[in-house]
Amino acid sequence: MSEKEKIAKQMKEIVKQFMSESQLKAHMLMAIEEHMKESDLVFGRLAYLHYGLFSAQRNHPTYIAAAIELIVLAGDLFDDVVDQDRLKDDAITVHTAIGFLLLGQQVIAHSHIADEKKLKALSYVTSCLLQSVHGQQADVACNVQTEAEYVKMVEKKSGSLVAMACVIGALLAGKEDIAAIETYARYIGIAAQIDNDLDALYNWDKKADIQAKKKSLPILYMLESKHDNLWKQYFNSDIDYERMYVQKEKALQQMEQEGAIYYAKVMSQIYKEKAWQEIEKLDVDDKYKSALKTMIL
Amino acid sequence: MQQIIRFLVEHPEIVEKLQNGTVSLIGLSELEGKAVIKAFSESIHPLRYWM
Repeated sequence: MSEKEKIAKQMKEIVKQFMSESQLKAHMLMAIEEHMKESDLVFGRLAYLHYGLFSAQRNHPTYIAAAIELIVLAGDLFDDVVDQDRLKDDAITVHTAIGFLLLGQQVIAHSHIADEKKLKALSYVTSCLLQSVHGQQADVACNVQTEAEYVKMVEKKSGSLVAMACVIGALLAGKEDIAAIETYARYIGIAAQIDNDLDALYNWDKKADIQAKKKSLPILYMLESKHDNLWKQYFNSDIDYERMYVQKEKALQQMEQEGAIYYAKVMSQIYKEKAWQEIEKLDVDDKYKSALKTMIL
Repeated sequence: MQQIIRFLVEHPEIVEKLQNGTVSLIGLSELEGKAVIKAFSESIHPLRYWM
């Protein structure tokens, strides 16, 4: 069984153990199945890897990875509610998301780990989630105007979640100095979000980012262009989404020709390089460094 | 960074020299320079979604 399958199995076992309401339980199990199809469970695997990095124990508990992945899945479901008009499903989706959010923390609280470590870990989870909520709100409010503001927003929105995954693994294993881990984790989160935003540009039908007028790096680049382009027209409300959508190939072509895609790729690469530099400084076995680098490449 | 990318898109011959190591970009750190070269060496669509 792969690491991913082990984590997913553990997530389901946690749901079966703690949830009693049959409809909610069934919905949560279904959500885990769906999540498995779409995700490599990177957050859970990062927590697992970091526990292994700093723990003297040979057996690395999968429930820590499952707890983190449940919390991240809660965030994904809340995003769905924010991004999509799914009123019919809203109640059960919101309850499922709240269930996952609390369940992840419950699992950490009930683990057979020293109370001091658990308290630190749970406090860190709360702090990261609060930062992420601030970033999410800045994103949906579309009040990002510059590269610096974008980086600040995604550091909160995504960097904090990657930091949560990496640091929780380390804290529960007994690692006290988490500064370096937090630094590279935030860089990884920023790079991953830039890549996700690029992905959204090529998947208008699957993602609502363009329709919601979210300003990613390539879009900021196009809005700063000295030439007229479809992005300027759309974001200035000179054309509506329907008119933009029918010209999406041309809009993407304009981005590619002006260098907006290169710009985002360079920025992503810069944060990956920064993360790698920090990872290299870690005083741990090279095999862990390689595993970490492979996971984020 | 935006200005540098716009310049490089308008002057592809400089990108080639950068990749060959015959020129370097003033104002960029070594790390940023490496990132520019890597990004311009790849296809424009190699997007990888891992979250």
